[in-house]
Amino acid sequence: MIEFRNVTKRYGGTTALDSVTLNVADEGIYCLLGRNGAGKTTLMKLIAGYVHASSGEVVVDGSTVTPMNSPTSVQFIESNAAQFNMKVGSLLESASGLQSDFDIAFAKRMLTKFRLNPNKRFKQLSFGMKTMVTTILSLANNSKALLLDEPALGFDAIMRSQFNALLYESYERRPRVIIVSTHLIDEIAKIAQKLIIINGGRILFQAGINDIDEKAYVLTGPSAALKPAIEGLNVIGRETVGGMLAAYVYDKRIAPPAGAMIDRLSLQDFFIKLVGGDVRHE
Amino acid sequence: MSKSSFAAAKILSRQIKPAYFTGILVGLMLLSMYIVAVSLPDNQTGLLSLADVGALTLIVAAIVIPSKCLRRLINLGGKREDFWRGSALVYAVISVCVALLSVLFYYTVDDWMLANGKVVERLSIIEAFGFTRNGAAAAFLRQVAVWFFFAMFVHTLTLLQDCWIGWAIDVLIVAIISVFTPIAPLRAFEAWFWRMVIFQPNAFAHILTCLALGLGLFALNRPILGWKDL
Repeated sequence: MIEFRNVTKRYGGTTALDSVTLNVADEGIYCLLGRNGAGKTTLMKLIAGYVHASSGEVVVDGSTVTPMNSPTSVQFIESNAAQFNMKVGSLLESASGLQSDFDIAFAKRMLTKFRLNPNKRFKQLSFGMKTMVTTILSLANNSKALLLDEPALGFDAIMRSQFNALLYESYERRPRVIIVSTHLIDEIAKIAQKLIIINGGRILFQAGINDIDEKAYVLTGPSAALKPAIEGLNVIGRETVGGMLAAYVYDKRIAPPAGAMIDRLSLQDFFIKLVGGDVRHE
Repeated sequence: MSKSSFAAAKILSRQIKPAYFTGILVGLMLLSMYIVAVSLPDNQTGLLSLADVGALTLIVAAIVIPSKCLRRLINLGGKREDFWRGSALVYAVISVCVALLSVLFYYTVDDWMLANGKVVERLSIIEAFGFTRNGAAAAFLRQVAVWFFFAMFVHTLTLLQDCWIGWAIDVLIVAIISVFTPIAPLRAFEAWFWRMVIFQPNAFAHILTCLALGLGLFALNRPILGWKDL
């Protein structure tokens, strides 16, 4: 459904995306991870037609995306998106007028569920509430692809939990491509089905979350015993403390050698090891 | 014009409160001068006509819409096409309203003030520009065309202010007005241009010229919106 064909995006002298080739074909909740400035927002903006590609081509549903030919099947929302200072209820009505596939009944139900006052003006809301209104505006859209950039920014723990439930409810109601960019990795891991990791403007990793559960693990034990065991495996990070070694692996599971332990790797640790590189404590 | 473009126009028309506020504020100031003039038994002064005040609303709207509303409309799920068509529709509607109010005021209140000696002179843009020389209907149509063109011009210039082209055009306009004017052929061109869009004696030619320029700018806005990164 979404295809990047060797896409580069430059802002002046800065390369935000560098020769990215990516294919998002299947429905599902995709988790887009990357450090600050990795190119996550740029990637989403290119899909939505907010910005031009400096070179290459972004194709959505078979059509090349340009700012004037932005895909109607894609909805992109930034967490801190500026909105008209209308009453919240009027914002929903306005969105409904602009978008033919906007589910206003769902949006109103969500307002009630999250105890948002439809008669309050947007600027009167707290930061978290503003983000929630923006999130509801995006989730009520029945487009084929939904792009959420830092949707849980400013949410407290309860709101984050509610947001995850809302996101999943929206997906159940209308299965589609939902790409969520976030730094709250372990929370999104509960509902995400697929993972895309971007680093330095390049796609570093793309796989299903199940692959991480199956293939990502950490082996801890004496260096002398572990080193031969991990030879030939895809080791994404190592930590050495004294004579002990922790090897972070993304590969087929092996039986731990004598004296070593094996443990699963959380998504957050997997991401840190993949993007952050080796750390050595002597 | 699609349903979403009409929805965009409706939203945009509700987001130009500074424009309405400016129009109302200046209108009230001028109205107070009318009240003073009517109250005085023997007034020997001239008066700025209230008929022109609507144009202020239009100019402020043409600044507010491109500078404040594009990103917000997109964030609400609108498309650039909706903004493109919706904003032009807003200017067209405001131009019609401004022209209608202006003509009504000019030919009723202002005429009554003059006829009854409440003022000795009326200072009106539409009279100074000669829009009233072919009667009320022509004055109305001339104003619709002029204000629409003017709104599209201000809108386009504002839309370009976040990129170097906009700044280059600003410099060019200032240069044309200040530096180039001493050059005779350019001065002649400038005079011809103003004659065509403002002082044209032929109402039909005037309306056609302004509408063509306004629609030309409307068409130009499409690629400009296409260039812009959000």
